[in-house]
Amino acid sequence: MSHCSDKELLDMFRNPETQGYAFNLLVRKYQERLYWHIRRIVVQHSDADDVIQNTLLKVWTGLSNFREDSQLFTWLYRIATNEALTFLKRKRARYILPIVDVEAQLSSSIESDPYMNGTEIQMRLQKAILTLPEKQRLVFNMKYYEEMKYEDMSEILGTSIGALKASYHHAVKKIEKYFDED
Amino acid sequence: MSEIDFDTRVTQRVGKDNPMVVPVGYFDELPSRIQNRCIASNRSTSFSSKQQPLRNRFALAFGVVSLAAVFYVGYLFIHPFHTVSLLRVDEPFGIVQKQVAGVDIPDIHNHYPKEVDVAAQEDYREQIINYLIDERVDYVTLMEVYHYDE
Repeated sequence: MSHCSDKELLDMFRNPETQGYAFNLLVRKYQERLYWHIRRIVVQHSDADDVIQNTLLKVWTGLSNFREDSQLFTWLYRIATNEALTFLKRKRARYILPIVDVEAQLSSSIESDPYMNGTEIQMRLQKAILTLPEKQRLVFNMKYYEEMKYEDMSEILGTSIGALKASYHHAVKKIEKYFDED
Repeated sequence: MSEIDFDTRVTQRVGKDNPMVVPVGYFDELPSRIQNRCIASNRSTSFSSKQQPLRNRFALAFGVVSLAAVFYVGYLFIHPFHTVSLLRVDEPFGIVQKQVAGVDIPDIHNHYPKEVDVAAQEDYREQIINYLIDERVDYVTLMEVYHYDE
């Protein structure tokens, strides 16, 4: 039953008797993809854990209103992206001084994070990604790590495919430069 | 350099492996944690929705009582001496009785205009008092004054 299609899951969810079971299957099906998407935005595991829970809680309350105009996974990604970006915005707002750079703090915490376990060059790539502007960072992660199609990214982020390609191009250039300078 | 070139170059050097990890068993436990939060959220939603009609009724009752209180205070503010003047309805006649010997109070009551409003009655009483006290007229003269228009 873990390989249910989205259509089957949604049909089961609409039946009050199987609603809880269907949601459990949905969580099991998408939790890892959503978690890693969120984790790449907020970087730290404890933050990603908070955001994934809030995301799935919103999915639970909003799924009965899902009209199937878009694919289920793009709808889930949209909620997860918004939750993660809102989380970062709140985190920035916590600092009174504007000179405090949340991305720089995350970058400096990468090496001390107990839930980071990669090679030195992998860590360097993470730090390079954290120097990118927020939108470029999102696009780079979705394209490079998740290998997502521009069409799906466009639906999730509400940005044209041309603009997404340009963002990825700029992100790549900046990361290359970071690696060349390092 | 194209994106494909970059992917090849970086992938060769860095790889696409994710350096981020999660605690052991994290994804096994997450569904039940989410389920618990959903149940808790449902409980709080249904509790607040059950409480809502009762809250609405209390709010409505409170609103009605408050409105009535505001009207009452407003009424007292506009007519501050209304109650007092009703209590003092016989006071002018008492003053008249003290000042003028032989005044027949029931007789004055009978000639007192009943159809006019409270303010007009006050005026009549003031006229009687002023007239009797200042002029020290007797009761017969008073009656003549009263029945002048008749």
